[in-house]
Amino acid sequence: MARKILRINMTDLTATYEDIPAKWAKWGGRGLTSSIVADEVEPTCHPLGPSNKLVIAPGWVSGTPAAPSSGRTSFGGKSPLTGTIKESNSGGLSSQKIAKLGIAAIILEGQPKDGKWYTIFIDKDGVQFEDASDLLGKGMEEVDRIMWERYPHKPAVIGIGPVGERKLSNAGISVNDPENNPGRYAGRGGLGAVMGARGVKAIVVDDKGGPGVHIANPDLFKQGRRKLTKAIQAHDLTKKNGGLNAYGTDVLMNIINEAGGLPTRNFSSGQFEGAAKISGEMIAEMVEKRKAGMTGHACHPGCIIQCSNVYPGPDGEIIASPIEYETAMALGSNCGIDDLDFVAQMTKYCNDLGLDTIEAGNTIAMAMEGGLLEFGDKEGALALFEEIAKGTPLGRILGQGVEATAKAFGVYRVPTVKGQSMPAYEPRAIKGIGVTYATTTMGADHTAGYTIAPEIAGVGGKVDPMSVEGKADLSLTFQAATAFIDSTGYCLFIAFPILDIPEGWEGMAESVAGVMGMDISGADVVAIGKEVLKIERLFNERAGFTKEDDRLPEFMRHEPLPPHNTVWDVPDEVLDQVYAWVHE
Amino acid sequence: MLVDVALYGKLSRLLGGKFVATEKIRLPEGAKIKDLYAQIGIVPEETTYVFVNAVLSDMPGLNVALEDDLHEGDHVGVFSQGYVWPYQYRDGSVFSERLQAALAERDALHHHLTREQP
Repeated sequence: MARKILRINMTDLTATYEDIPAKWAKWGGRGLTSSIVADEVEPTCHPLGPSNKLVIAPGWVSGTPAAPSSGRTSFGGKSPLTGTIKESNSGGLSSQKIAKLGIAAIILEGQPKDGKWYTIFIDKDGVQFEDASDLLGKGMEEVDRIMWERYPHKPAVIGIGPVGERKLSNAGISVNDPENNPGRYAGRGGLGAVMGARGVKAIVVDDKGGPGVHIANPDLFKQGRRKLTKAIQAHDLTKKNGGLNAYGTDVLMNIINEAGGLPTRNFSSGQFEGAAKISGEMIAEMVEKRKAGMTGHACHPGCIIQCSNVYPGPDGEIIASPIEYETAMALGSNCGIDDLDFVAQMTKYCNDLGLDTIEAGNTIAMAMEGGLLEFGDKEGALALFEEIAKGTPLGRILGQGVEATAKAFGVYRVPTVKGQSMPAYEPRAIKGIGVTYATTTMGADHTAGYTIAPEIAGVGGKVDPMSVEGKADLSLTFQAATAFIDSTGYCLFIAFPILDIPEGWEGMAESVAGVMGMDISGADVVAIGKEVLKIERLFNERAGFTKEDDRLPEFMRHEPLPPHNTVWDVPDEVLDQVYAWVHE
Repeated sequence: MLVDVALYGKLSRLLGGKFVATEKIRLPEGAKIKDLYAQIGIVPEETTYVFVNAVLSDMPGLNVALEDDLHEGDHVGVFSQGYVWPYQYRDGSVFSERLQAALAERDALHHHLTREQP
């Protein structure tokens, strides 16, 4: 059965299943959300207005049998945080269930004329609109629980917390995990506010009895799936008991701190004396010591990497899941807080209220920089989440993210690109990532440029990564490969094994080719990824962005970062090379 | 001289830790990384990333830092097997001269031990 587009119009409360038009037919995941947004959303529109749309798409291989770690959902729209196009990507239950219903993408458009809020229930028989007024003001923990009580078959719950209801720019979209906890987030860019602006509190997806995913060439798919699975299981970072499985993404905390690149106290230092106390190793130690929680948690069914964790409190009660490296940086080192229990408590608030943890933590750090409280004041930081929960005027400012908070408190050291605050790698210490932060279509984003080996991808000649000039070519290649992986439905962490193991790279491409019936191989990955980047870049240009927006904040050019005491000195001309090809 | 040492992962057991251990280690003047390893019982093959004062001095499978000199007050961070620092989060960070030279002779994106011919 051919995939369909499910168009849900909130103005007249209609749902229509449309044949997927030829121009979108080859796309999945990010490629599809970005294509639809570019075609249907006026780039200059207000992100919260009637013209914006929320597009939800599983990847190419999501929902197929035993494609490893392939439960990622892409969420797209125009971002209230950045004003750019946005693709934010989440694990959880949604991707496979949407795909198994034969749906390539859900387009959520319009706004209820009556100003009411709705829950949308989708199953094999169609779409139901239900009054959500009883859910208003509720956090995602309760919403997930109620939805599983209300609907059978343990459905996927895509929802927004009170922050999304208030349409604040740091509102993320929650997807429930296999245990029905709300820790999986399409966090970045404020797409929860875009969903809130459609009047939708939750989208519930039950795939039982659905047609499943059509696989054009089962033999090729199986061959690719086998190669990729083998590569994931062989690689030190992704195999069982490997770095990610044992310690989670927070395995990077001590490494980046040793390197002097850990954002600390609102990006004023690259090292934090308390880093080890908030590291992945410490999470593992707490799980062991408290005999509760877990490492090696799967964020979606069929994940064989299992990098998530469930963090226990002192009495063995579960506080939050997961604590990622980015979360521990933003809510920990960047706030000068070295107490994992507090990081976990703040993470719980984020997951329940519907906040991106990176932007939320960096916002608290901004409030500290602005003098509202001291760096390291963990009780004070926790109390600020209560302000956000109550929706006080201060809480609403904090819910808008770093830039709005910086303006409210008159702060100049603002670590953002295109309105989105930086993740956990200081670009003055780790300059390659700075090129990607500056130029990606998404605003500062650490998941926009995952490494691939140019020789495996079959692009270009030998690049010199030690040279500044080489960084533009590398960043573009990485961004393109990442755009491809974001379109597959595979977790981006497959990038690690497929970088090191050529058969894994082939397997990824073959499994996609097998599902879609496309004639592609590993050699085509970068070219296809560049098509996605071009669509996104041109949308941003139509929205008013120019190459002058591809810059890191001014303070990084003249404030030396300890301990290396380096500044951001990559020339603008290098940054401008990254996307020069779009108009060539 | 006294050197600040941090061991991460399994190696931390050498200094009584479980996952992380830090200790000040006394070494003779003129000591090198290999002398530090010998004193606390680190086998070079069991290390991956090694930092000296936030400068990346060694990477998985290379072991080029052994002859690096240590000085009073230096901080040395040593990571065990099982750690991987993805290239995109490492590119453009500060490397020792000896490590840069070693990388220049090899695959420019040298990434990981499991790569067939590092």
